[in-house]
Amino acid sequence: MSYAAHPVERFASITDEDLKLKKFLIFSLVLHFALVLWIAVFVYLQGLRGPQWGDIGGTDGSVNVKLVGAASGIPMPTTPAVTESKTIEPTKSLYKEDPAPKPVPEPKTPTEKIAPFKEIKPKPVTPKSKIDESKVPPPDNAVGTGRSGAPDIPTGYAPTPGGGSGPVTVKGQGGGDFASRYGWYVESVKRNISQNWLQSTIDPSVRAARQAKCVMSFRILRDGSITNVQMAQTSGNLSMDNSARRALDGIRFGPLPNDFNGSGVDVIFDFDLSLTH
Amino acid sequence: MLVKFNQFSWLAVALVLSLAPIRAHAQNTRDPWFHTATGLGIDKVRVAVADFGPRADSAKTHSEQFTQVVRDDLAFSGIIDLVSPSLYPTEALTQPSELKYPAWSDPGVKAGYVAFGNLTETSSEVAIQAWLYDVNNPSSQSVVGKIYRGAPTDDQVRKFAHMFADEIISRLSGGTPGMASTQIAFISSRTGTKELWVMDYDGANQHALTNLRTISLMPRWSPDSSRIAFTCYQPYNGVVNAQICMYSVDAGKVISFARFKGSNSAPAWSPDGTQIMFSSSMQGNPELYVTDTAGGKPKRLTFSTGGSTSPTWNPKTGQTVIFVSDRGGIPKLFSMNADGTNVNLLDVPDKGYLIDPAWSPNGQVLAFSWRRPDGNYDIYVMEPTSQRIINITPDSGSRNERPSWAPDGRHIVFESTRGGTRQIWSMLADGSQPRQLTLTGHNESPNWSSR
Repeated sequence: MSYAAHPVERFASITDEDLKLKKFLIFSLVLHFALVLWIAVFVYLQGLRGPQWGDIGGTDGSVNVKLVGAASGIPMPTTPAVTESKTIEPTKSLYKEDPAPKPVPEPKTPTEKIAPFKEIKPKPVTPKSKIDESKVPPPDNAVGTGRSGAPDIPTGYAPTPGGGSGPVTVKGQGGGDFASRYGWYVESVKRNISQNWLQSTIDPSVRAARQAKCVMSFRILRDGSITNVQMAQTSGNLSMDNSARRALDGIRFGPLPNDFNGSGVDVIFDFDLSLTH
Repeated sequence: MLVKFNQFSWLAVALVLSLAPIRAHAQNTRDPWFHTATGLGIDKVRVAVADFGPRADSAKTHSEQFTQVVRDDLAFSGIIDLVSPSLYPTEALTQPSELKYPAWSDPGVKAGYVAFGNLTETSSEVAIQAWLYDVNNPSSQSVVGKIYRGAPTDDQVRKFAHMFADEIISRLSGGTPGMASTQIAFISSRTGTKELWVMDYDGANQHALTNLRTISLMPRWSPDSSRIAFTCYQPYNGVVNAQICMYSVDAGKVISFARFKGSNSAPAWSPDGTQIMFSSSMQGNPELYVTDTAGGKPKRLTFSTGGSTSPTWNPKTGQTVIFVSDRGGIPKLFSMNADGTNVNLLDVPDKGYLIDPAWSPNGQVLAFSWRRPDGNYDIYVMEPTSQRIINITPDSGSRNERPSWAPDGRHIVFESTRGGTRQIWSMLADGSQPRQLTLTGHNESPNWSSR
């Protein structure tokens, strides 16, 4: 209510100064025009850059990369961009994996007794510590040059889309199939979901029967968030289905493995009361 | 058309149809995928932590300390079975080239993962290389690989060990952050007056934050862990009544918060950290009020004949608040919307006092203290969706109360008299692995930092 009152009063008392407003209006118009112009130039320049990204990203079907490059000027600082640079790094140079010790780190001296846990926690790790994966094991996807073209994991899968045998995993070379190469990650997903799955919310009779099974599918993005959650197969029991949906509700996994190049992983997940583990 | 299909085609169609919904995006995106499942339970991961190797004698003490702290953190994580060091292979393992997979996956050890590394130390710096490898998957790269550098002090080495443990826990648990680097605020009277104290999650590094020499009660960390709201009795113009006090961790001191008439206590943070809800008798009856984080713009939320106190905001939704009210005669739990509407009694199948409600970080489980007619206070957890209630401190006689959840949602810290005096304990949320954190004086009202 009080809000509404203000503008009215203002207009009433300010009528004399309308002329001044005009000036401001013109000024504002000019500014806006300049801004639009600037944005246009920026977008254009970005557009010029786009192809370069595409070139690096893939000599084979890099449609996605190009699209992102072209659009990235405006809406989103997309995660894929980050992803790409990351994947290029390890192949380029085998041991200098982290090119970005962004802030020069100060190993928080233990003088402050209280502040440490807020400040220190993130700081020393990010800058000071290095991720060692590259140093130690020469990556199996020995692509060699910085142009990490073909052998990206996604490419490995493409040729065999329909022919997948059974529900397990599709083989790929180089990156290897996800489950065998990153068994620990698959385990961790399972663990997280299991913890989030409140079986006590399922009808007691259904639980006791130990037969119900429903299947959810979703996609894990690089940062560990999930999208595209769908119920692929219902159990036939609403409480069971709901418990599965709730288990995925708002869940977030750890980021995908550092040396994994893809932009995401698709997951098919069974909630199966007949399994004892 | 259909006539033309031979048997094989039908099979193909059936196969495609049956797999179509499931494999939809796998096909569209050309991205990798996997299929896994869960059932009635899940095994803990077996992790071994080899002795971290000192690169020189100077690093020996810190190597041992680092190894021990990591082992303790993992053993207490609730998701990991620490393989007993007595089972480990005898060869040193301090860097990846020394890793002999069969020796660790051997049935005698049966480690799923092994953590190892080494320490280099000079008078000015300690550098710790630390790895975690998947023992059953020799072709895979390290699951965790870090180098920590910092001042060569016990304190710093301990912090690094917590960080490494957290990294392992987070990786293996699927992203749920570890909490080895978190802290617990509590009230201790070991100096003579009830002051605000803080300690590491494992009880190490206990120290006082305030020296107000009055009475401080009920600390609550802000969601970003930069501040602690608590109840204090600081005299003002000769008047002493309970007020909300705010401690800034960054500033290292008590910062200003508005004072109100009457008695003000039991602050709670909104999940976004922009509001404080507390109980106040500024208008006579103890009711719940909400203000901004400096005590501004107070707004009354409850209107009843009894008193209302101890609000806790659902950290996930920010919409539901559980609080304690004695409007029916004795303290019971009620739920309401964060704007004070839709008040409901949380019914329980027995009589007695219900106090200290605390939401789990995922907003799915509520912990509280309940003194049933036949016993003393115990801590219970309830899933509001199923209304299932479990006593997680079923001992006889002692008081167990004031639960507070760790950010991992797997641990609870609480106060208990089970050791004879009132002390702070922690445990897994199912009541297992109780661990006494304080030993001296009287200690109470713990609150776990949210990061």
